[in-house]
Amino acid sequence: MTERERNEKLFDAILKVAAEEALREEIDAMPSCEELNKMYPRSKSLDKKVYAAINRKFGAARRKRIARIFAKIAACFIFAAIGAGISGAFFLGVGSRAPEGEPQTGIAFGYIPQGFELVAAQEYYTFADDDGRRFAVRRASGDVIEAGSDYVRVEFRPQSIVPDIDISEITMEVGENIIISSFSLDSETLSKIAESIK
Amino acid sequence: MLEQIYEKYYGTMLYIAENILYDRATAEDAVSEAFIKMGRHVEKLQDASPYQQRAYIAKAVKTVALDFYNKQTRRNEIEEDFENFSASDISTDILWSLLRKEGYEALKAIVQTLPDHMKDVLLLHANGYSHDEIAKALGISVSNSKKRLSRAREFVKKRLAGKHD
Repeated sequence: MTERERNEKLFDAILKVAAEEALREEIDAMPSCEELNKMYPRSKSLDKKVYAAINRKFGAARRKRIARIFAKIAACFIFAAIGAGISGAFFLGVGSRAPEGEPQTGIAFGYIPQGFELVAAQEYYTFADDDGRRFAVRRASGDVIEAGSDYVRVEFRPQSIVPDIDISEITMEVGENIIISSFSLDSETLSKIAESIK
Repeated sequence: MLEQIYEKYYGTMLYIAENILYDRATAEDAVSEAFIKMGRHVEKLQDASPYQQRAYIAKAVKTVALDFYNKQTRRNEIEEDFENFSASDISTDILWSLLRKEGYEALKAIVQTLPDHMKDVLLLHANGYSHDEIAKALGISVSNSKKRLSRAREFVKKRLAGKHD
């Protein structure tokens, strides 16, 4: 190694350390993430813009994946015990409660069945029509389904909240942790909604 | 992952964007645009340290906010002039001086005076980001990122030589 090359390597090494420290000082000069999150609270408009941006960016890949998913649907029927108290927790029907702490979704739909309107947009997007039929959409957290997995899982669960009434809930998990559920709509309609998600 | 990044750093991103744009609605637009620009590189941040994560996101949103500001004020973009660029050698004397506290502090001060478009590349590169990732964050090409890094090195060398004379 020539002296010039050695000097360049040494200079780069020292410059790297200085630059690392300079960046650390820059970051330390800012208030902490927690403080800034309090000082600059989220708004619905910000959530809407960010989730729309995220979905727009990755939506094209998702649409292709959903088209493949429905071409080779793998249905899985799970029958939970009646009265076992496993609610499925999509708050459809009398007495059910929504799980707490779910993040607000930012899902853009290309298809909503006629007559349905958005009636709630807190932890879930809930759509209902005048006849009381409902479906709900949420983005699941954690490990409900692997991101990018290539299948749809469909569950039928008897309604356990009101054990004397035989109501089946269809739960459709699609691709990247989006879950669509309904006690009132059939799987074909739910599939159409899922396919339309941008 | 994207949602986790958003939920952790939304305040940081708004803080940076609003300090440049002075308008909440435009700052929100800049934050959402930054997510588009960062793209899938954001998902790689899960292995980065908190400092590295925050730095990458901060630089990305700063760049977008400045673009918005420049468009608002109709300022011209920074012209990349690499034609007169020439590499220079660093002397052994200067190197030895950098190993002493005073020389090292002088080096850090020079790094802080780098123009933003060079400094951001140098800082991100020194903290482990590839030129591909830097290009995404700053909205530039990979070759531009490499050129800016080279220019940053030369800028620092020349300033050091000037101080040493």
